[in-house]
Amino acid sequence: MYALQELGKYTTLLYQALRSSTEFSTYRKNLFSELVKVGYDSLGIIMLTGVFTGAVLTIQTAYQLELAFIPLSTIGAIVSESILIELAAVISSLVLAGKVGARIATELGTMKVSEQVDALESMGFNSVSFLVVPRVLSGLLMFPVLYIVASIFGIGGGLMAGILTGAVPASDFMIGARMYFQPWNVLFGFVKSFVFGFLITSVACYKGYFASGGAEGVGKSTTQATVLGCMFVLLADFLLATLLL
Amino acid sequence: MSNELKVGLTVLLAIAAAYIGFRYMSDMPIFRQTHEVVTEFDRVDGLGVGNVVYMNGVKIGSVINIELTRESRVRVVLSIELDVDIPVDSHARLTSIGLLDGKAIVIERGVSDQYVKFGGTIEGTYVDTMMEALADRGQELGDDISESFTELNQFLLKLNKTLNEENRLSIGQSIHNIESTTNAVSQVLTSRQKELEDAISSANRILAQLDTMVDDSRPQADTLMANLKESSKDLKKISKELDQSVDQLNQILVKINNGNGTIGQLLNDPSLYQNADSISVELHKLLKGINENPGRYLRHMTLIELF
Repeated sequence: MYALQELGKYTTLLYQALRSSTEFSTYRKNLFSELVKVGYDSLGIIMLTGVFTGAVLTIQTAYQLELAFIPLSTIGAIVSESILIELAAVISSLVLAGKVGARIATELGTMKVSEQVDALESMGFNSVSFLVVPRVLSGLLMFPVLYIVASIFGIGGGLMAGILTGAVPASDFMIGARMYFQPWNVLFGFVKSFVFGFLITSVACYKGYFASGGAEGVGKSTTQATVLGCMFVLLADFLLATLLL
Repeated sequence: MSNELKVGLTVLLAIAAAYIGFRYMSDMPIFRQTHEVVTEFDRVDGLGVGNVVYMNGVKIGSVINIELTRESRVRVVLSIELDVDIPVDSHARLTSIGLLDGKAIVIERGVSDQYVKFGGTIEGTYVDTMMEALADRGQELGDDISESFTELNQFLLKLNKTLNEENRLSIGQSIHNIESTTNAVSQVLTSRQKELEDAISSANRILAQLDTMVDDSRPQADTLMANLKESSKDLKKISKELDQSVDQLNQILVKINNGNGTIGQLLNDPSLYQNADSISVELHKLLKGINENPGRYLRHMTLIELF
């Protein structure tokens, strides 16, 4: 019953956001600052995540495939396809659930408990349009961009790890990566990152927007935003895999 | 830097990186143009866009499009590097490059001096991979293998039967005997190790001495050989001359046999002998006459007169 109520509140918030998304002039300034916070400021951690994901994947795949008859290029194929189809989107989303989701929930929660949201409303601002829409939009726009960055750095990291540890030469790695490269997998990764971006930012906005109970409430809503964001990412990953593949 | 600029920069760079990365991963050249060559196969199992095109083992391009034609063949468009010219009578083979999978197109160079133009077509054939060939003959192979195993089983059963308790015992004894023999040999070897070593070392010394001797007398042997060679050459010459002489002698003998020439006459004509015979008869008579009546012949021949 409680979960259904939560879902209803969440859907209502999203509906309001969708309806007020036409008021571009209200959130234009906020949108760009959010885009920078979600996208530009996350580039570093996403690159780092990508490089280490790829590197670890290469080393462990090479370790597991230490058998005769399996060409070295298989490692390249496994690493690049895993990164494109799954890891670039999911791992960077999990990282961003901590970074972006927590920040959004904390920001909105603090504004809510310190009654800044009510102040906005009383000044005649549409608080959903002013606070929620730019954050969700920036998630929708920037997660795919970050997916590209994570993919490139992930494959690059895998390649570098292969070269540096001597597990697989660059040429073999790229032959495998190219041989099994399918444009559909990239598209699938894009769809995933798009969905994950929406889920993480909207859940964080919802948790922050309806925070209550002072500092403790803000902390609670932040935790819930992060945990729920991660859970929804994994759930959506499963659903997308069953639906689209 | 304003927020708008940062966002714009991030998005632009990401899109550019995605474009380049996508082209790179699909094995399409990133900026350079290529030319396209079309080929047709009956089937293209396992071939995908981005698979590599080889010529003489060198990568020269990749597959950029695969589609079915109306004649239910498969039309494959290859993107080939600009600096590679493909003769019009070249042949494309769709083959697998690894044991398990991984398809590639191998272009075998033709000999024509005319080259395929942009979008031109070359012939293609599909080559069965090892796995497919195996799959086709799998049943047969399996039967063969199971037959072999049955025979092996029977053989083992027979062997088992042959090796009954008694035989096993005797085999065990044989092995035991061999073991004791080996032990004895080993003991002998151990006890006489010193002598054996001495023998081996002296044999070594002898061999070394022989070696030096051979080395020392090598020049002499060489000259000897050279002399022998010359002598044999001379011998050859002599035998040739002898041959000729025998030939001539033969001819002479033939002539003699035929009665030609003096000797021939001598040998073959009996008249000389008859003359001689009659002469000797006459002489005999004469001597007889002289003997009987010497005065008749020596009438005037006194000793004094004689001197």
